[in-house]
Amino acid sequence: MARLAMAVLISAAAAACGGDCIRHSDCASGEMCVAGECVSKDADSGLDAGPACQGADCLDAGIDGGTDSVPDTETQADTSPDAGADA
Amino acid sequence: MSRMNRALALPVCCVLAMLPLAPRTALAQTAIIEGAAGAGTGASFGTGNGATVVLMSPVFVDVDVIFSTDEFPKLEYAVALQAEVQGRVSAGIIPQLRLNNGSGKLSLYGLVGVPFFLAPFTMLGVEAGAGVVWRMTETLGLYGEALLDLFIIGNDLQKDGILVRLDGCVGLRVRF
Repeated sequence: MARLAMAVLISAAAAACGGDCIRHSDCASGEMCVAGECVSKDADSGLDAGPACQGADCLDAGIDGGTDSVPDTETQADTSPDAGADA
Repeated sequence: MSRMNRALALPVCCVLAMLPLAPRTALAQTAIIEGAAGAGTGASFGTGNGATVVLMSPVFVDVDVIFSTDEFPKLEYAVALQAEVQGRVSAGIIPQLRLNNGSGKLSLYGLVGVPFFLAPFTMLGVEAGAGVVWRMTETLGLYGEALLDLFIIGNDLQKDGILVRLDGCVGLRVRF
């Protein structure tokens, strides 16, 4: 009984400590555990959402292979043939 | 009796003379098979963003088959089947070596093992623990054990992450 009580106490303390995840299976479906946080598995899929793509056609720059999802605001002419589907 | 018959008689007599020894040897190695079933949980420790993340371990159920011999009953070989049943459903197998302090009404034991989760993900680690068995009758007992698991390899772990589990488990133990 003492061991059971100890296990319950440890579990309660652990639950109180919180935290996001330790294992991938701690996260919901479609998420993975990175540095103790659950993040979407699609978070780094190459869509033009990050600072690296702002104001530039990322497809033309070779940064990713995704489809630009934001209006292209670049003013400089592309120097390579555009194979993307810019909005 | 011919010379050939005399030559055959010697080994036959030797074998016959040793026969009384054979059953004793076999009896000394009678296998003892026990089963155990229990459930447990505890605390899981892992690496986070510059800090240690502590979570409650998923509740698990354990089914063990424990082998020993009456020649040396203090040493036990066990195979534990473990399934996590909280938040996910997983299955693992844990070969264990256990050493107990006797077969009295109350016995203590220590164990080492190699836990390996097979599905739906993989995790491999090492385990050490200690437990107590209270034999209520000749065949039925209660057990409780504390387990320390360290998982270092597996596709359920974070990149470069480890998992440490400090769990407790209680259940029934049956001698067949």
